[in-house]
Amino acid sequence: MRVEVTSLYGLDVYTDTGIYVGKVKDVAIDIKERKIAGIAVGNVNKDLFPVEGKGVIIPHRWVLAIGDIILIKQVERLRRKKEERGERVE
Amino acid sequence: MRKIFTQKLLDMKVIDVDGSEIGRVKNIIADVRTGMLTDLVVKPEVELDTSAFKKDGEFILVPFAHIRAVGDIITVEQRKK
Repeated sequence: MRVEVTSLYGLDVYTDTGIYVGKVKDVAIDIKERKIAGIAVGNVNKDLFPVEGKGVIIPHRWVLAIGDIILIKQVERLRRKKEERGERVE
Repeated sequence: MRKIFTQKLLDMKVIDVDGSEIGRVKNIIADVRTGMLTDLVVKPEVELDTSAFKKDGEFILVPFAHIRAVGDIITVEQRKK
């Protein structure tokens, strides 16, 4: 599906397990590979990413679907961060 | 190659390698399933002859394959002629 990149700005990002990740602020591209490299997400869910900065960049390979929202894989790394803090992860 | 944010590309000047101005970037078209970038949507310079370009309303489409370099401006090389 062909989309204009600016139409992605502001979309909500969720994991496939239904956890809110944040909002799309920008899209990083690789000119040489002619590919979307990643999605810069702001307003980040601090439970998933305990970061101080403005946001995180989600690599494009984690993206499962882009429609009215963006769905990303609940990767193992995120899961572990939750477990480290003693939270139960399904 | 370093990554570039699309917000930085918007409104950037697009110049042909022969030195003529083509226009300014208004948007970028991507295939979201594969992540491949297909075209730059460019608002053409008024005096530009747009007959060689694919058109999208008042804008022209410049294929990503034609991009030579991206810095403070974008240079493109048209493989026609």
